[in-house]
Amino acid sequence: MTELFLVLGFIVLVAIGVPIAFSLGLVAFVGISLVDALPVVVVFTKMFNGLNSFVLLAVPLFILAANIMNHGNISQKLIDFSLSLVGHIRGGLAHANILVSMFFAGVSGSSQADTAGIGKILIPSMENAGYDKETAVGVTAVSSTIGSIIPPSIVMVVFAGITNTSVSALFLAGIIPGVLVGVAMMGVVVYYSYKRNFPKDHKIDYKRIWVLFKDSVPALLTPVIILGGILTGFYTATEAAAFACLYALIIGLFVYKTITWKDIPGILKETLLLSSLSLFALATASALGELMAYYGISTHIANFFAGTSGGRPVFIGLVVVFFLFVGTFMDGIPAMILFVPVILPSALLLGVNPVHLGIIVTMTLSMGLVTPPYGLCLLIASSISKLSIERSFRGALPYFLVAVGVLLLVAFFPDVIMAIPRMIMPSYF
Amino acid sequence: MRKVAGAIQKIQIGIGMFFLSVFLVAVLIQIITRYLKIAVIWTDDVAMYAFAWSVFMGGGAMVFPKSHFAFEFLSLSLKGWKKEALGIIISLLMMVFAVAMLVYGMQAVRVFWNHNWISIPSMKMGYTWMCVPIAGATMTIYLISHVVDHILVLAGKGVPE
Repeated sequence: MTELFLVLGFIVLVAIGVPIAFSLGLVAFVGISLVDALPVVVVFTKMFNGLNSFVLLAVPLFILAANIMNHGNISQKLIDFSLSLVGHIRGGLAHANILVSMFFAGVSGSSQADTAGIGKILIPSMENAGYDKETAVGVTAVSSTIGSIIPPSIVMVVFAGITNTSVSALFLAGIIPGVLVGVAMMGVVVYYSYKRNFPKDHKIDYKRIWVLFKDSVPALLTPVIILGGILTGFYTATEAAAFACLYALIIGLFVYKTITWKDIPGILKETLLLSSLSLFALATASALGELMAYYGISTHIANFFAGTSGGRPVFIGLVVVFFLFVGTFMDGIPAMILFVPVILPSALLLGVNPVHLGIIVTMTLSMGLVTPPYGLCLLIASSISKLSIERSFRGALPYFLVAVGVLLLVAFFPDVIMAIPRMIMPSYF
Repeated sequence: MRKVAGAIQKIQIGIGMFFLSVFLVAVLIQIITRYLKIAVIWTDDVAMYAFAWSVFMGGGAMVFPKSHFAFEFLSLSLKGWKKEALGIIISLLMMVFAVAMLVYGMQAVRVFWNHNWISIPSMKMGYTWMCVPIAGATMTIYLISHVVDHILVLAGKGVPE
């Protein structure tokens, strides 16, 4: 009865407009207050201890690296290089939008930073070039989700922390699905380019492409430095994030000379405020996790997943549907803190590799970034274009559906993604 | 009230930015010293506790501009006094949590006050935990400011958001 009251309480709080982080915290606070065996102070010690994990430090650090890159006009350099490669194809700006998201994904690890950094340049450019607003917003929002899939990825780092899975293996496994989502989206652009007569640009000569490539090399090297450092054991994922910040700062200050010391307080402030939103929700979710454990809710959910007939495929299908649903109203990081420990034992029991599970969860939650109401990338892109959420989602839908298609391919055919980690890290499997 | 709350928020953001810089530097020192084979054991603790401080300061500061993610369908569908009344209800509910964070956060500070860091024994754990009640206190101030704003609008002396 108390459990039902708490679930209803959460729904009412969220529905009337209490922020998600506070709704989670209030339910945890009220629920734990009703339990004699648990002192109320546990709510707040759990919040604090929920943050007491070295791996979580990577979250603000990767966001900081992305913000330094954005302020340093590195996004513009990647856009110029991408346009030089695909701008001459019909729908070139849309193709470039996707391609630059794939490049930027290797730099940032944050989908929201991708939408904000690239969207504010490419959405107006696409609209000025004659693309409809829906396409400009839809392509930008959905392609930004690649930021969470291609390494480095904040979501994968957190998943690795929760499940004690190798970050390197997860990063390597994310390469193919990230590229597949990009290629599938480009296929949709090709279809609409001819249907809606999207514009194309002039072909750029190879000398100019070479110049733009050389200009982008320091930025394009970021994923190599991050992945290389982690794979060779030079540093951990969190240290890699800090190193990425230092690297971005050095190339912004001394190589490109596009940022000055005066820009740094602004970059720090932006990073602090953006990262705190997810992490504060994570802290309150940790407190709620304690309550869920007390009432055995975690066990009920685990039993539900473990008890489903149909074995591994049905389990994977349920995980996809469950996280697609959760992702529509909750940020990926608190969602993982609450639910990944619950599904992990069933996954292991059914022989699902944690790396495979991590990619499924990462991709599914990244899809949640474009599904209203809590589709952060869609919200950012729609606010840049000043387009309603309904029209923005309509524009995103074809691209979202092909991305879901790739997700299902990855979910049910794990060999697609496991090839690279098995080849590079055979001893881990 | 709004001006006071705004000034507090600026200070809080400054503190958060300071701790964000501290943990970035601590992680970088950790990498460098490991490869220089210099034994430094405090970087882990400094980085993690600075991180907790930055999250509580940032999370607290984001209450003032109402930036924590919330579904605003109901609020957007209401007008006039109903919208303001809902704003007051939401702020009061959030305040329950913020005040609890202040009260029980203080309790946690007292409990851990005489515990010391393992890596730096001269540092008290109480300082580390102080970010919880400070965030609770600042959130309470911001929420009182929101309630005052809503009441002023209801009384016809303020501008609706």
